[in-house]
Amino acid sequence: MSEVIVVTSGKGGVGKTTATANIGTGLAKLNHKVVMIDTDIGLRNLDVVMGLENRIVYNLVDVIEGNCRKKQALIRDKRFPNLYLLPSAQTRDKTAVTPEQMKKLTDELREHFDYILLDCPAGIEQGFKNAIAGADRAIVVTTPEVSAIRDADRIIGLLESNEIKKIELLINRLRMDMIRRGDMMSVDDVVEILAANLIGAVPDDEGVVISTNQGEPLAGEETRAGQAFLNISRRIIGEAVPLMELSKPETFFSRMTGLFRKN
Amino acid sequence: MRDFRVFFKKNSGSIARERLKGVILADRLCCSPETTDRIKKDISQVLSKYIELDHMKVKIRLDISRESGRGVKHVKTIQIKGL
Repeated sequence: MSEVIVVTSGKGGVGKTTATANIGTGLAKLNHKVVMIDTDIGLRNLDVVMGLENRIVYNLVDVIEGNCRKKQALIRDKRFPNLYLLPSAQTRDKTAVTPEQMKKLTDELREHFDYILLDCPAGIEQGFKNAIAGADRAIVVTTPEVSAIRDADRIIGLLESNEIKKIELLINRLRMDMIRRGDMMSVDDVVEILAANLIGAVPDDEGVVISTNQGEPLAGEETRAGQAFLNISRRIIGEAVPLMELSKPETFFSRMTGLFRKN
Repeated sequence: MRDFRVFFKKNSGSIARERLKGVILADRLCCSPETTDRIKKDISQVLSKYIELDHMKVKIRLDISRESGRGVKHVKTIQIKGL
């Protein structure tokens, strides 16, 4: 009963890699055996976000080309015994792998893992096609910005035409102060425009930058983003977790200014 | 004076929402935003052939909704305000 989940977005820089790292960590903390695959060949990043960059010996392309066994390329995260990373190759490009090869690889990994998370590159070209080839489920990451939402809409269309049944939306980098004064689209606005199921909403949080700096994923930590990511992991395994109350307790002053600005 | 205008200005979140709806509609139909505007204009002209329409009061909204897993479904909602 393993599941292959692709984390994708279309637009770059919306937080695919951060989401993959934190959802993977969250699932491992919930005692599931997880492998995260960085499919961004030529621009590998998941290893640094996870803080595992010094332990890479073999990579995805080595496994596909048969230069090593799968077990040799998988890096076990010492912090979480159930978490593994298959890093991408830095010196090759996306043509080194075909969608068929990716599908074969993910199918083989199903025997050993509960969840296989694929970190998809930005764009809709070969790298995207490789990443979605073996996926059962997709998490579309977007931010409440016009460009990111437009790309997310396009990606959802492409995922649907590739017969991926389960498509869910992750809205990242929400700023409640801006939403309250009407200068940012809310979670409901984005969900309505994209007409997709929501898997979670993550507030904009300094903690994310700090955790990336340190190479320590923050899922489950006592920060707002950390809790939001752990909640997403819980929803992935099927728990019914209500959406986190994102807005901080309002002060009388902020409520009054919000009232005025709405009109 | 400038500070007062802030209260009456349309906030940027709703501007973003409206712009996105237009862009996404055009993307899904594979046509330009001007084309969707022309479609709306034509629809109002067709309607006015048959019903008395006060053009100032009529607002036509084009919308596409997706039925999951069954490709793209085209739904056109004609909202006639003031009738």
